[in-house]
Amino acid sequence: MRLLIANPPWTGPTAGQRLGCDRPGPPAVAGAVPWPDELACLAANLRQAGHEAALVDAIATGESAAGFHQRLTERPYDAVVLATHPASLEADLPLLERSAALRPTLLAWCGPPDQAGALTALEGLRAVVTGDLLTAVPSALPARELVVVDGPPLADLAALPLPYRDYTVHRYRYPLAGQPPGPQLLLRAAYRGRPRPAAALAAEIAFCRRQYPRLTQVVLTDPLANGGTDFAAVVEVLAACGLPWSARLALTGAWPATLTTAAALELSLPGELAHEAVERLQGLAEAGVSLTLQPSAATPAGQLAALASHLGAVARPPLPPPPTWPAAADRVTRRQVALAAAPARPKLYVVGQHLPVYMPPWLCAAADELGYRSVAIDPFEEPRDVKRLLATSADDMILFDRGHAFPVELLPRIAGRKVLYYPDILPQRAHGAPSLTYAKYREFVAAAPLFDDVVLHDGHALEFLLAAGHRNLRGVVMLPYDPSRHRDLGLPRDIDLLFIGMMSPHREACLARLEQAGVAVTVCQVWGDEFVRTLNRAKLVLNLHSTEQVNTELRIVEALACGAMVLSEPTTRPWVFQPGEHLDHFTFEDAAAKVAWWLSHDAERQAVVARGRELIAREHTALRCLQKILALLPEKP
Amino acid sequence: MNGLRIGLQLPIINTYSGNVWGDEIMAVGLADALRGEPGVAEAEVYDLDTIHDQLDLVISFYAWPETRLVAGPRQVWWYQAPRLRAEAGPVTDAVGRYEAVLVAGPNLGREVLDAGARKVLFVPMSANPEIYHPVEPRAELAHDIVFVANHNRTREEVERYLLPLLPLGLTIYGAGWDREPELAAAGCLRGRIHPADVPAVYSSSKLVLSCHTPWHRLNDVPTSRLWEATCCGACVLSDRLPTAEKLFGETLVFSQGGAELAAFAQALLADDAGRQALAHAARERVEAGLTFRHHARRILDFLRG
Repeated sequence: MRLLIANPPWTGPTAGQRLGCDRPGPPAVAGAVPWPDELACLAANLRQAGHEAALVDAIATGESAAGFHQRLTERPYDAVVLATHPASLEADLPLLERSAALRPTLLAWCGPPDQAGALTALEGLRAVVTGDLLTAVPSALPARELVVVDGPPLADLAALPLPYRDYTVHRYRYPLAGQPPGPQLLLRAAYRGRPRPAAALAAEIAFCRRQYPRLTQVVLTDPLANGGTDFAAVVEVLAACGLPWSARLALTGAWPATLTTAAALELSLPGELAHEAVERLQGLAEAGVSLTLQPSAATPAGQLAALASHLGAVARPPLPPPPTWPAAADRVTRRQVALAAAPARPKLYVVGQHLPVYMPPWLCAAADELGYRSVAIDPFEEPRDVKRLLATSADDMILFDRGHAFPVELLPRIAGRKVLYYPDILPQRAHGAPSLTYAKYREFVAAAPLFDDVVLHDGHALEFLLAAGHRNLRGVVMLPYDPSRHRDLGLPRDIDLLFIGMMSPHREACLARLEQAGVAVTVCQVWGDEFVRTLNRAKLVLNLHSTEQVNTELRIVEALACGAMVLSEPTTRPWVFQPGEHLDHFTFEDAAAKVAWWLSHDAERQAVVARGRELIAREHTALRCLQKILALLPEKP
Repeated sequence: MNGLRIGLQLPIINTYSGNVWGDEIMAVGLADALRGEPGVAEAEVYDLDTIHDQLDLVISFYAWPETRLVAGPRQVWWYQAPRLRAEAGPVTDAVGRYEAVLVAGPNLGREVLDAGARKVLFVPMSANPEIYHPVEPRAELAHDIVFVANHNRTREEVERYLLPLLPLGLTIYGAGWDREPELAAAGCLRGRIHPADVPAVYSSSKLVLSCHTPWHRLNDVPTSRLWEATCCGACVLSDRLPTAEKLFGETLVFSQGGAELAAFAQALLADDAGRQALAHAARERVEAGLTFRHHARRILDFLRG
């Protein structure tokens, strides 16, 4: 199976750690990026069992929830295992639900095991696993119905594989005074409260040094020092590893002499220190080991301050007692109540290419703003997702951007309302249109009757299509722009007259005629951010149709949004943009004079642009576009 | 965090325990070099599962859809290898999705420009001198002629570049070669080698062979082996590629293969001083302007421009 093991983004007001980290909850030490050891062991175990298991720690990378979900949409995981914790559960709930809607999801719960059952109330989960993940997850993966699995402890800890790491290993760190600079290898001497053999730690260090030569030091966490681990053997391993090393230890029992080879130590003080323990600490300080003291509530404050001063050690404030969180059942139930109380949101699927530069993501955002629950379906990136449309109900709506790359044979099997928003040029008459236009028309004729509704981006072909019998045509809505992308960047406008676009015979002929008329045009083909930057450098943007057929191109909107005035071939009637008010039209006879006039009248040009921008901001955002499309659709019988 | 955050994206990473990908070795080398540049906060290697959106720039070693286009960061493609799967479609279809394309050979540059690329920079492959540098020779890794590669060559290439060197002591590291009966029978196959040991192989052997894959030769894209071996102080015998000959000049020995290759090898094996002079000149040439450090600076200047 292809699996994702993830510490998902923590979207709440406090960011922190979850499963298998030092201290679940908000980080106790500033600058610490804890290592999710238990998830890494799970990933290694699943890989050893023949699965393709990837490990993602979205807290370490700072990934956004949107980025996390983009991965779930694009990568064909058979299942995902997501960690959650009592500290983050409240913030995790929406994210967990969204993930469960995208991929089969197993929830790794590191709260009290008796609360795991409450989480099964979350919609779409495959399993809730608790206890030892290494035994729980393999048991839960084959389940076809929702299960709760409490994994028993791994019988033989010697069978624990080396935790899986990739290049993100360099992100993890635990800062201590006296450590050398450079990326750290964080090691844990115990797995779920049981000591790891020193030989396993030695193998882990050797393996990581070979795989990731940038690692410059080792930091060991051993909560069982002298209380379970063969501590002397572990320290021997560290002393011999060939790298500077530091450790975080609980101070009990006797210390091996080789502890003095550490660069830095953080020592948890259980309470008042005996004279013998103070002497040992003094020995470490004299050996040049940097010390950080972590007191408990039972450590006398006076002794801590005196000791820190005497040893030249850093004294941390006592750790607060672990907070108590509301039971999982309470929070899940609150979530269910909140969902039940909210009006049911109809789903609006947007089918198309979901790249930031294209319209579909803008329409998704607009749908959410209008109270729908938007669902992105990208047949280019994830063809398998189109089958999700077969599960839609009659109350759902599916908006197709152009309909490209969609298997038309599926359309009759989709119960939801299918709306085609068509952005290409179609013919205006039965004969004489350019061949490319007719090729598109043939595709349109084959597909359009299979949709419930068709909305065009421009009215140039409306009359012809109605006459040709297309009864599901609902009207015309101009294509939208993205105000966050298409905007005035304040760049110097060093291009007088600009044309951006693909060349066509018609455009080449137009440019040649303009050149003959003495009009100099800067011509270029650029895309994405460069497209926006280039529009921002223009005073006038030339709008030429692709063919002889009249049209109202999106370029007009994009140019206005970027603060450039548009000089256009006459556009489709009735005009969306009024000549002289929002743009200007030209003919080949008056082009030279108009270009000269507008270039020499900055104030008038800027006034036209301002009116144009006001119009598009009011009428041509994705939100308005979607509102208009929805308004055109008749009530379903 | 201040400074540029860069991700280098590969379809697969962490291959060191199996058939090691040369791409991964290069990605790590380029990441190390980028990380050393002023203004760069981090540069790490990711795969399709781990790449994320808290980056400013993603450099993908394969084009979409064989790598992902994560929303947010600037997207750049380093065109240095062919499609891994034909069903991903022509690479030229992906050109418009990238702000800029880095190309490992001038022919690739022409190809992407014809496909509408907006910004193109020639960035040949290279090696990381911190890993690939002369190391203490090891007797068990010392060979007269050594070739380190997994088997993705044609039979013709085996016959032109490998078989003629068998009588002269060719040793091969890498996976898949045992399907060539002559090589299996010759006892010259050593199997997989960990990348950490490759510098010792190159530093210990008299001659290093470079034989490009058909795609790299047809597209005139010199591969990283030339840099890795020269950085380790090795004398390199290579098949002919115009761009490699321009970059390295006469510091490498280029051959059409067959009897010519065997004659060159024989002469070099008999001439210790000549071999060392060539190796020294090649290493100087790389260190003067062809390391990942040089490339990293050019890439960042190009993208800032």
